[in-house]
Amino acid sequence: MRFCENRLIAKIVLVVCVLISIFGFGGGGLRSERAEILLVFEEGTDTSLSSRHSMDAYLDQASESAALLAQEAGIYLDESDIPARVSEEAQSMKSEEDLSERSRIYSALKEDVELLHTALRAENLTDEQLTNAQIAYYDFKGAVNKIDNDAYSSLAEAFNRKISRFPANFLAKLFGITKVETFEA
Amino acid sequence: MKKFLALLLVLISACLPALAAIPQPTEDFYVYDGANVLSYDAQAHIVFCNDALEDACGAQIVIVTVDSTDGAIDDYALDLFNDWGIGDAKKQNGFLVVLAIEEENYYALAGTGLDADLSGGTIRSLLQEYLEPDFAKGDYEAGALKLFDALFEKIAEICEADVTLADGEKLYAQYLESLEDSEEPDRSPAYSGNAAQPPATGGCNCMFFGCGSIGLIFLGIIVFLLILGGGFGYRRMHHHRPFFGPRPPRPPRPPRPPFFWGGPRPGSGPRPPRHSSRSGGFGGFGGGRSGGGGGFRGFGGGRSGGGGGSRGFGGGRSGGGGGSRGGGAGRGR
Repeated sequence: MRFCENRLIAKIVLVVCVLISIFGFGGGGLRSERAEILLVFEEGTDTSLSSRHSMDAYLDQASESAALLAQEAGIYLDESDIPARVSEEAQSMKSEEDLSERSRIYSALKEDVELLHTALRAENLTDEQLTNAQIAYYDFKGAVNKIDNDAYSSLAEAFNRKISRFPANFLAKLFGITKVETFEA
Repeated sequence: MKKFLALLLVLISACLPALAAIPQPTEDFYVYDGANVLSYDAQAHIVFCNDALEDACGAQIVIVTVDSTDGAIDDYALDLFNDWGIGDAKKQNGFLVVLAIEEENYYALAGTGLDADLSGGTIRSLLQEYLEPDFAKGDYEAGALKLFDALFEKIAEICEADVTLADGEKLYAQYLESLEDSEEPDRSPAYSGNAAQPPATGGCNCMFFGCGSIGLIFLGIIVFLLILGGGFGYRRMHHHRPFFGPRPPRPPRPPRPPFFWGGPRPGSGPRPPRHSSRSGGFGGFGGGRSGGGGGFRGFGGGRSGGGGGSRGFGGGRSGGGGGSRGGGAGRGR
């Protein structure tokens, strides 16, 4: 019997090919795709400019602006706990490494910044008194706008959709590949 | 008939103006006065100062006035910025100001290369100081010019460009001198800021045709050709038959050779038994990385200035290919 006519060898080759497909191209492919998306999160899609333009950078900018707003607002809102809360959330978001926790803090921070801004405007302060706080608030809004428009969000959503459908969902469960965190608008 | 009706429907819908579509840039690129609130001199100031600024550092400051954006002005501005490719492609140093007159709203955003120095808060401060006082009074031209001058100096400082507003004014003066020999520039009242006139540039956003008449002429030509040609599809090839009389008889078929049909094949024996030869390998489950789906947001590309502007200041101008990621500021309406 010739080598290529041996059924046993053919079955072995078939099984090996199936295993390579599943572990190599299936699970390995999803894992590498996830890693690339996380790289986009940290470095962005355009590294030609001197300053960083990535989700990570924008989140840091949002944190700094929120912290500055809380500092300015704290001068005029003594009795409110919102400035302290915003300050704490801003600091946590900047230092947090886990993306899912960071996303949770980001959502809470957005709401609290709006509350803080509304409370500040209700204090009937002069334009001069409000100048620094307004700059910080609109810097925060600008950073949020850039986060909403960043390429990372669309890549993350596409990846999450992919691993929630068959057969990628089977492979994702097999290899422990989880969804990528999104930062909701 | 159905195909004809379908095509007719497509052509008619192509002539309809798109609602709140991004307008195409004019020949002068730096200013688009869709709401007709800027005078000739104001537009010239913006255009020639931009020429000087772009020559010095590649930066571009575009002023766009429209009646309405029919939606979120920040999304409109971002789409327009990236569609037109404002600013230098490498330095990403463009800046866009959109004034939506009927909505009494405005928005400004900077290119990616400028957003570190011109953050949302800084832009908001500039808008509040230079644009808002005149905008609130309805003097849109004055507000736009004050804002433009302030942005010019700020961006020239950021880009470390050795250029001033006087350089732009000088270019405009040279342009006027060059026109003296030919004709006077048209300073008709239509450009004195009265919004009752139809827009001089842009306006209709038909997909394929200019506004109205060219499309109708084209449609008429197609209808005429269709009537003349007898409709779509292939022409039926009619066999040439005699008008009167019966058909001529068919020629007889040649006899089949006995060799190929029915008879035994030469040299053939019984078929050998089949081998069970299955090849290995398996396709696998959609492995590897397919196209990521969402893709990246485009950042525009260089494109030439569109046509349609009847008040060009000479020479086509175009976007440098820059882009923005948002982060601007507006009036907040």
